[in-house]
Amino acid sequence: MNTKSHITDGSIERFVLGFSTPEEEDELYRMKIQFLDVCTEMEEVERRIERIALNRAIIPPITVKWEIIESIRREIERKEEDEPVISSDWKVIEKALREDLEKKNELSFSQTITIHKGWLVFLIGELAIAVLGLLAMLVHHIIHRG
Amino acid sequence: MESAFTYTEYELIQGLKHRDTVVYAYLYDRYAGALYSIILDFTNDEGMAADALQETFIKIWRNIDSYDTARGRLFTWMHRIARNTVLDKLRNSEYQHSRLMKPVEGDVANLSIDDHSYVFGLRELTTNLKKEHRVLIDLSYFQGYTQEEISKQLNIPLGTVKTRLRAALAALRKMI
Repeated sequence: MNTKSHITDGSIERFVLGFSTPEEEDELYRMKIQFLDVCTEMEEVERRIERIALNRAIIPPITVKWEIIESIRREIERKEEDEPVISSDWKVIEKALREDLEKKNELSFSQTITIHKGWLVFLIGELAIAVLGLLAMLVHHIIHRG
Repeated sequence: MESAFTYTEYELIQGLKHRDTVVYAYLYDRYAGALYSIILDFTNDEGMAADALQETFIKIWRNIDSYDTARGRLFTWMHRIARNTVLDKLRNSEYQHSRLMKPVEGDVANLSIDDHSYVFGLRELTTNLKKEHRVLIDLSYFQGYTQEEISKQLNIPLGTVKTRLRAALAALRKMI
């Protein structure tokens, strides 16, 4: 494998400066883990670019740091609100269970009422039939006696 | 919030992955200036540069878990975030929009990069390159064009773009 071409064809610089394609990056990564000279050269170019940037550092406006800190602080707080502590979790679970149980009880009560109403209609029906039967027997008896 | 400690790259990465705010503050103190100088290589608008730096550090905080140490150094990863952030800002600005939409004439001399008020880092180094090489570094690194786009914009074959870019990077390599 000719690793020299990878070292000198600019693919390392393109990667370090951030404008190589994903395919080129994958290829370079494969070369890096396979060949020590590619790995060493990459590390060297990365360190050189970093050194240039550090040597030419320019102090940014002081407000930038505080705005970043404030953003991060708000982000951490939001995350804590989204993921409450366990005790609060239990309260939520407990409330949900209670509501669920109440719903089930209500359902059970209304079902019971429905069953009772059914029985009531049935009994009234049965009673009406019995009364009608008795009346029929009484009428029959009077006619035959007469 | 200045940090009294120093960290190795490994310690720095581990601290960041554990969302250690002290390590994060150290990271800012150590690298904000370097990343700011890189961003100022792309724009002479200090307000935009400050915004881009702020966004860069917030992205570092949010995306540190996606950083793979096997692929490259932490600074290379942060440099990429800073470059992409400022390029996005430039693309979104009206000025850059009209600039990107405007086709570049075949004569590379029309691409002026000498009007940049800030001359830092790589921008300064590229001033020592031959014009045809400097233009390719400018279009690919500083403006984010792909090699295919450069080929169309400059109306030169893709193979020529690749050859010239390779030569430009080789020349730049000697300088760094």
